[in-house]
Amino acid sequence: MDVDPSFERVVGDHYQNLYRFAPSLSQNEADACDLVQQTFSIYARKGHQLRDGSKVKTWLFTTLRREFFSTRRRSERFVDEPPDEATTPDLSEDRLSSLDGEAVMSALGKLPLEYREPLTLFYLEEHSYQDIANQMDIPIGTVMSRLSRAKRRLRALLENE
Amino acid sequence: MSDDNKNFDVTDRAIADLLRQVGPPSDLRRNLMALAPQKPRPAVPFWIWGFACALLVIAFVASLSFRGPSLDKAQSDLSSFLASDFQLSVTGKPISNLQAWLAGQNAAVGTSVPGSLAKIAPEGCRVIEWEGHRASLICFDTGGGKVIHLVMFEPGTFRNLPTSPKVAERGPWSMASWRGPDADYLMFGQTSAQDLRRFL
Repeated sequence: MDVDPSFERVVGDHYQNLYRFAPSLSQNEADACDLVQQTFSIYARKGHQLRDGSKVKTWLFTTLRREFFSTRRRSERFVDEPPDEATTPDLSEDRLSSLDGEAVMSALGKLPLEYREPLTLFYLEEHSYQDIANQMDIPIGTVMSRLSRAKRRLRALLENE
Repeated sequence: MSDDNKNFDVTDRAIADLLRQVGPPSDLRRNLMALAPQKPRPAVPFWIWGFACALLVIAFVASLSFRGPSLDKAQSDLSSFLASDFQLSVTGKPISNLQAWLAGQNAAVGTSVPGSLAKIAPEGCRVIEWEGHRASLICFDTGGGKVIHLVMFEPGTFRNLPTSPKVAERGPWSMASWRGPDADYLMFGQTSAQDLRRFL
């Protein structure tokens, strides 16, 4: 019997971005792989119930996030900090050129979960503020403020590494 | 790409590009494909099931027809006929002449007449129509009012005929049946089985 070609297409389209997102939750490559596999395992069983193909990406990211929180006690406390009006510093061109993907992942890993998650989704580019708000089940304004603070912290980490 | 991405500044773009350099482990995709559901087999259209059923019925009917006529019924019908006051079409000729005449009548006729019977001058012959089969009958007067009848059908008319004569008694008749190289043979005589074996 042949493999369902639609499943192969969905894996090809989304598994890399899901893998890049998963470490923002698990902070561990092995756990990230497990999360991605668990997500596609659920998709293999239930994906046919998705009638709107454009919702597949959101469904996969939401499912991965739900799986993470359903198997892990939230040890990190989510605290909304007051808005910080400070401007977000730019990284120098020299500093940017000296960085690589691993350095960015390492710096992301040092951020608290409530910053890591929206920031990773943001940098995966195809996620709008509204997508991130829907997936994290928080107001869009909270997404924007967390992103602002998260970017500032990340840039500070990258500048000083 | 969403409109929110216009919020990307140069640093965001650079960080996003760096993040995208992080690739998954080489075996992740293979592991994910192992989770793939199997492509469902296409449903078999109803007409194919109908066609298959029709073929089965045809095959069943054909197998019935290939079973051939019943030897038991043939022996029963023919012994009744032979006990009746039937007429011979040709009389007083050598057996080879009778065989030639029967072949000319498009009747099944064998040339492998048992040797002991072939030594007896035949009384005569005729064609017998039975169950759509055109068979030959040659009668041999063995003396003392005792007649042996040899009926020949197309080879393969009856299923499971032995190649060596099989003798059985039924009422006043003794009957032998076997498959020869050129015909299915049935032999009848109103005598004992032991006596009939003398002519085989």
